[in-house]
Amino acid sequence: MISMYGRLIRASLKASMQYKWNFLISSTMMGLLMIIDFIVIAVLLWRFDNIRGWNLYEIGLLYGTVSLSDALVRFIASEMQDFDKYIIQGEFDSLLVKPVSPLILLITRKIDISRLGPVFQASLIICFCLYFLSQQGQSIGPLLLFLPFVILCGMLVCFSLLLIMCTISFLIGKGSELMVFFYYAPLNAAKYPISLYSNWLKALFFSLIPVGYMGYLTFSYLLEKGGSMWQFLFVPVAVIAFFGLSISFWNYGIRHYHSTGQ
Amino acid sequence: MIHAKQVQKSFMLAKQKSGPFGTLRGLFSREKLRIDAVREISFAIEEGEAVGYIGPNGAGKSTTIKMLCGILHPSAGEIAVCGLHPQRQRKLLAHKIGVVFGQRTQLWWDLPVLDSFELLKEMYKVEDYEYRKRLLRYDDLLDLQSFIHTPVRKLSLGQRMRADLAAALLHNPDVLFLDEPTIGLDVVAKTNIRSFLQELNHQEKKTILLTTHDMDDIEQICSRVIVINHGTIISDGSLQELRATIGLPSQLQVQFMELPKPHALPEGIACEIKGKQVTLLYDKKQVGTMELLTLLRQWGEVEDISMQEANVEELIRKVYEVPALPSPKIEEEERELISN
Repeated sequence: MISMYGRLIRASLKASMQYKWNFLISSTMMGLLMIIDFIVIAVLLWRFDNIRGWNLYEIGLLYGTVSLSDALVRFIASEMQDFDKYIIQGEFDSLLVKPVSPLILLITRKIDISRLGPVFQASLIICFCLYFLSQQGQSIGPLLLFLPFVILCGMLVCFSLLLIMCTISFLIGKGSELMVFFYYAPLNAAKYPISLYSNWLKALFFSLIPVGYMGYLTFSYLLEKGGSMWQFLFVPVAVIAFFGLSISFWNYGIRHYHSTGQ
Repeated sequence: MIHAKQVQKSFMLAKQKSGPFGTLRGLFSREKLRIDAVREISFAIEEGEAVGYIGPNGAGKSTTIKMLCGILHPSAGEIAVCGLHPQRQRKLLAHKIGVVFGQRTQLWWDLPVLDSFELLKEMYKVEDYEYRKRLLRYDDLLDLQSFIHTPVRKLSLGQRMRADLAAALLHNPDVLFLDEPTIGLDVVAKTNIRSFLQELNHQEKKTILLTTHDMDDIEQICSRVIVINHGTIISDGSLQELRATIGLPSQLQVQFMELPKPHALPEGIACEIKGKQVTLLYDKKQVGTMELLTLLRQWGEVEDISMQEANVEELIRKVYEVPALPSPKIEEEERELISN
């Protein structure tokens, strides 16, 4: 299974290299966007010393890890973002007649190399913030230790959300408009401390759209922002449960796939 | 090999409202339209049979094939392919069947053909030796060599279809499902594909189920024909039987210089006269085309002649014994729209 995944990934890398100009232009554009993005955030954050007890670098760390998870998922599973076309054009049919899981075939269908721009950006922000936090006397040992864990949890949440969006495409035929409400917006919200938001949003971000588990809970414990150890330990449980739910929802969707008339 | 028992597939569609704000009202209405794409279809196909599955657009052909491959779940009924349940044992079944959809390729669009083959080899865990042996054989039959290093998106339709066929056969499946394998191909390419499928069926005893609109496909590949319309099977038997009951109509259209003066024609020929234009439907096995033309000469001076071979739509009409002349069938077009 893993070797098959590797082979498929190599194939899609080779395929995207077929369009060298497109690759060059889109990564340059992504790079430019990344710089603009970065400046806007820096300006915003520099205006406040701290927000609800979180200082600039702490928010930066949260921002960076959530962005990194998002960028990595969109780098690996870029086809899930415009899954609609598989449904509308009936392309999904051909994924279902292979002896490999359709989900693996789908996510290996295309690798979006231009997403490496945001991956680089987010990593840069994380390093930058960790450096300044250590300058402020924060012990960054535990932070470094749990960083892969936070990123992995974040990726699982992103992936599960995308998978749910795909399944909704299965059921109603078109789901890309919903992406704004259920993916892009919540993910942007998760880049800042959830404690900033009103109660109903908080409830939402810990239940139906569980972006609160991406970084906020872990960091509010590690950075001592009022998070408890129990909340911290609950994170992987919640994330894995959500992932499992999204997978079974996806399988339910496949059973109700209608295909096209062709 | 393939067993279908009282298989049904229905879709629910939200009913479109007409009148002002129809689309909007449709969005909120709870009224649903039930489309029965396939109703209570039963058949059994034995090993080594080559079966043509024909019917007009929207008759339920593709839906049936998709249920047999495990893509769609039937609403009711039972299906077994190679003794497996297509939906519950989909991945297991994938090793035993080869699927070709004429309308879209299953190869990696941006990769050379050979790369797709290599990926499929890994996917189906085909032994090196077997893989090379089969590749050589299919190259022999389909002449893949000339385009095997070309990216799929740059292939012509005929080349792509050949590559798709070889790809579907790399894991040596017992059953082959072909959904319109000759659609859009020119005569040479069609002949290639047909003789290849014939060879597969005769030499390797592969079970073939194919849908098509081209009666020549049926004639050259299939020993048995299942005719389906409006989701139900209306005829199932050998091609000889089908021909014996309805004949395969060829169409001859003759344009006269002046209004023709009709004479008697041999029996079994349907004739319609519309002003200067005369349309004849006849069975080539009974009446020769030249013979018919000689007869028509007596009707008046001929300006233009066009011929059309029997197609599936004509055949279906014959089965129903509807007046066998081309007339727009709105109902069927609607069905097609819905199923799209």
